Order: sequence, then structure tokens, then C-alpha cells
Amino acid sequence: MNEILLSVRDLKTHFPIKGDTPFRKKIIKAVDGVSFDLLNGETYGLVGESGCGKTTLGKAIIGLAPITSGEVVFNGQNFSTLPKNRLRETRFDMQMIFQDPYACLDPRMNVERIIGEIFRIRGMFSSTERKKRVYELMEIVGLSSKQAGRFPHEFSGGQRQRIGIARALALNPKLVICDEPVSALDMSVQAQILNLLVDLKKQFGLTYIFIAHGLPVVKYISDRIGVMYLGKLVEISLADKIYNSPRHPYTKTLISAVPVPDPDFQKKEIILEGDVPNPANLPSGCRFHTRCPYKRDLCVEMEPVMTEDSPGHFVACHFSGQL
Amino acid sequence: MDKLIEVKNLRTSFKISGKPAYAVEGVDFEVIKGETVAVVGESGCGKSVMALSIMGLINSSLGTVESGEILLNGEDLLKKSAQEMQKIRGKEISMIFQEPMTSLNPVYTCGWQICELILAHENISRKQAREKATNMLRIVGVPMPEQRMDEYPHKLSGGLRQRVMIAMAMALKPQLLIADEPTTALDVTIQAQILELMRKLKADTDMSLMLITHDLGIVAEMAQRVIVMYSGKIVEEAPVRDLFKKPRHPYTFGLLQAIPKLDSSRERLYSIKGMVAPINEKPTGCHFHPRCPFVEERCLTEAPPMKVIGKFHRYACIKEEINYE
Repeated sequence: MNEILLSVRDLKTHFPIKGDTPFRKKIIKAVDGVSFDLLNGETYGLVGESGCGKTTLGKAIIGLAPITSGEVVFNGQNFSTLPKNRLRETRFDMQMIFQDPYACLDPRMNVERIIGEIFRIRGMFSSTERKKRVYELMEIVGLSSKQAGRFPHEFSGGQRQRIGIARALALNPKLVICDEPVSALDMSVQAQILNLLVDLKKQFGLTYIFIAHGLPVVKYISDRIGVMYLGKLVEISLADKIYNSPRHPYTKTLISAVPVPDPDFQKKEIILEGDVPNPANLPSGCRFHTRCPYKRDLCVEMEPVMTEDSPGHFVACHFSGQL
Repeated sequence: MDKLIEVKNLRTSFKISGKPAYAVEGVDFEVIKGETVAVVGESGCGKSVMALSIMGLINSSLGTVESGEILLNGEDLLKKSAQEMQKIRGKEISMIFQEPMTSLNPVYTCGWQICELILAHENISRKQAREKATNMLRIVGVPMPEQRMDEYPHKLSGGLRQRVMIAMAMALKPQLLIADEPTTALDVTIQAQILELMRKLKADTDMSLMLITHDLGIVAEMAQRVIVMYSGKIVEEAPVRDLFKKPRHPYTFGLLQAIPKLDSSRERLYSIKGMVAPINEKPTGCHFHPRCPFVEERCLTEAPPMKVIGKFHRYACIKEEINYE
């Protein structure tokens, strides 16, 4: 349980974009120095607003986004030194579930082909065996194997997400990166999919990275949570601890912004001003200082480093102890 | 307790393979002056179609408001001509849509679009309209409103676009604002800003707000009364506290249970099995029966009667009071 499955060290993904003049390129620092360890069998939640780089981080780990610098060590193998063919092989142990169940399935393939494609690509199984395996996967995620001949448009959002999950499970991965798997779904369907993910985790001993912007969902499913802001992790801790005693002002505002489904709940809301700053033009010092209600002079000048506030609880804020 | 709008037996249908299918199937409710009413339900329950019916925005080549009355201060909106409705839309009733990205016109500046609305309803000069629009942007908290007036929607973030939409909807001080999932496309921090803004604007005027949402957290924070819709019908209507403390309809109960709460421990989430039936394949009897955990024989055939159990509290379920413990 306690061995490290994935270790991310100072990972950076920068995208060059067109600047004001041809000679001055601008750089978007989507992920800018993220380090964390993922234990075997745990669910690691990543939260943050849109544009904070959480999806890019997920994609960089699995190899769908370029890595500018830093290391990803998965199952003892360092991705930056591994030869290409071995890399591909190793990455089959990681799979991804995407946010938009409408966009991530090929509309011209039926379900059987969508789920079975990976077997075909890798030349696994005979065609009858392949079919059997696809049907099995469909039953596992709660679809009927009778629906195998249908096309994605014939399914509802929740069912499509189940197809995406079945596809991700096809090769018995160790790690599944779930990128906002329930954001596009209705509340009641959301509960069905979350329950399914929890069941599958138990059944197959999976490890999840669960990316979402809805804090209640992340809190529900995760063992540990990392809070991201503008390409950096600002706080990491156990899910309960993050919620009960958040140390970073950004985490506090995220929690207080969630509407509570109880009419008698009196809340102290901290409302952030403004939007997330442009990642091509990052603020000096602490990246959060432009919106932070507790800002002091030091925050503008110096970037805080991640320190261990209490065992297992990391926070990057100059004044975390005093707030 | 003046009624601002009263909807009686509203039925809206769409033609699906030649046959009429009812998206809204006999809905009655009222909105009191100055209150916030939330309408909740899953996608496909008819919430948006109901709102569009009130606005008179149902595309006539696709569907029609078949029968019913929509009384705004006693006058039936369904009897108005298209020109008369144009005068009412934007001035008496206005609407904010879910997608701030698609509901602004990309080829006109934000200022132009707000001015267009003001000029359509009021007989003032372009300069005065511009001043009014700028002032409106300032009220909704858009930074540097003079500059934003001349910017195109693509330059603004989602939160700012929604603020522009709100400025537009509120510019002529409507009596009723219908907000259809106004924050669904936004981040929680921006959502908190927008909700705060809507609360503030509502407190400053005596406007009524009809808030369509599927987030029960927003309902608890914003609304005084709640209407729960399922498959084109109202299944429960209650004051917000009663609804959260003592839901009567199994669907309401299911919706409340399905929310992952921030302060709860990790037990299994309650989920409503299955999904909303398409409007041309509605089940017989109670439309909710295929998904209801308390289903009985007679639910399959008999349409449930509406039971009134208190002022503003009614629900449509055939069964005696269900114990949800």
C-alpha cells in the first residue's frame, strides 16, 4: 500500500506563444515546477480553477503534453531516460478518462471497436477472444453487451462516460488519470459514475489521479488532495485535513466558495476579486498575491516555497501559520 | 404578497417524428413580487423549455406552447402578438443564459449590444444610451467599464462575459429575471462572485428572480422557494427550508441524497438509478416510476395527484407519506 507508484519531480510544461514582436516569444507556464508522490492504491485529487494547469499536468504525466523539464518516475522507471519503445510499453499501464464524454469517442466507431481498438493496435487476442473481452469490460462498467454494436450518439452522457471508463480499463492499467470525469454530468448521474469509480478501484486495485474543479466531488473520492494555482501546487494534504484545516488562503477561499446545500448554514464567505491572472504574464513573488485578501509586502517580492506545516501537510505560503 | 407572474396549466410540445411530444406537461406555479424561486431537476426535465415558453422564445418551427396561461400582472402573455412580446422581453422580463460564450454576439462590441437593447425600448439618444450602458457595467462590477464598452466579447473572461449578460438583462430594470444555469460554466470562485452580485442587485430593486439550476447548494443559498421538475411536470414545490429538511417526493429525496457534501464522511453516494426518459417515450402513470425505489403497482398506471400539505408546499406522489430514514 505504501510504496510509491508515481513520483513527479519539479515537472514543468511551458508552451511558447506568439509575443508582441517576432523576436520576443512569450511563454505560457502551464505547469511550472510541480512535485508530488503518488502511493500505490491511493486516490490523489487535483483541484484548482480553470487555467491553473491541472489538466496539462495530467497530460504531461501520461505523455500527451510535452515535458519541458523535470522528471516523471513511474513504477521505478524514469520516463526521461527510458528508450522510446520501452516508454510506450510502460505507458500502457497508465490510462486516462477524459472530461467531455461527447468529444472523446470517435463518432464513426461502434462501442465494440472503441473499446477493442487497443487490443487491435497491440495485436492482442483473436477476434472472438477480443469480442469476449470487450463484452466483459462493458458488463464491468454497467453497460449491457447487447449495446456493443451501437454508436456513441445513441448513448447518454453518463453511458458515454462508462464507455470511456471501459476503454481505459482494457489493458488492466495500474494508474488511471481521471480528468474531470463527472463535470459534464447531472447530479444524479454524477453519483452513479463516482460510485462506479470507487467500485472499480476496489475490484482492480487501481490508483487514481482525480482532476476536478468541484471541491466536494474531489473531497468525496480522494485520499489526498493537491491544490493547484497558476501552474504550481500551493497545498497538499489528506482530504479531510485540507477541508477541516486549510492553511493556504487560496484553499480557504475555494472551500468557502462552494455553495452549501443547507438553507440554515451560515457561512463566512471569502469572495475572491478578479479572475486568474494570465499565465503568460505571471505576477511577481507569490502568484496568488494579486487576489489574496491577506497580502503583505513580502508576498509581492518573494515566492514562497513548499514547507511541511505538519506531518504530511505541505503548504506554500509565507504566513500560513499566522492566518 | 402580490403575484407577479402566474403560470396556469402550461403545455409546450415539440414535434418528434410527426407526433407531438410534451416537454412541459401542465405546469402551474406563481412567482411573488421580489422573491427568488429556484427551479431544479436534471437535464431533460423541461426547466429551460418552461423558461423559454414564458419568454415567448420557443422556435415556432420546432414546437409550440399548446395551451395554458402565463399571466404577467394579470395580462396573458400568450395572447400577445410578436411585436407586443418584443416590447415586454428585455423590459418586463429578461433572461440570462447558461453559456456566456455563445449568448453574446461575437461581431459587435459589448457596449454596442447593451446599447442596442436600451435603444430598442427607450426613446433616448445614442449618447445617453451609452452612458446608461457604461453605468450598468460599473454596477455589475466590470473593471474599467469605459474601455470594456468598446471591447469584443472574445476578449473577456467567462466571468466578465456573464457580468455583461447580467448588465444587459438588468439594464431596463425588469420585474422578472430568469437566470438559466447562470454559473454552471464558471469556476466556483467566479460563481461565488456572480451569485453575490445577483443577490446584491436583487436587494437593490424589487425584482423577482427565477433561478434555474441543478446545483442544490445554490438553491439553498439563493432561493426562498423551490420548484422541482421531473419529465415536464412539477413533482414538488416547497419553501426552501421545508424542501431540504423534509422532502416529500422520492425524486427530491434522491436529488438531495446524491450530492457529495464537503463535510460528510466517505460512505457510498446515493444515486437515482437510470435516467430521465426522452420526452417522446415517457412512462405511463407516474413518470418517475421506473427510477423510484418506492414504486408500487398503482404507480405504473395512475397519474399521481398533486397533494397540498401547507402553504406553498405541494407534491405529486400517490403514496402515503414515505419514511426516508
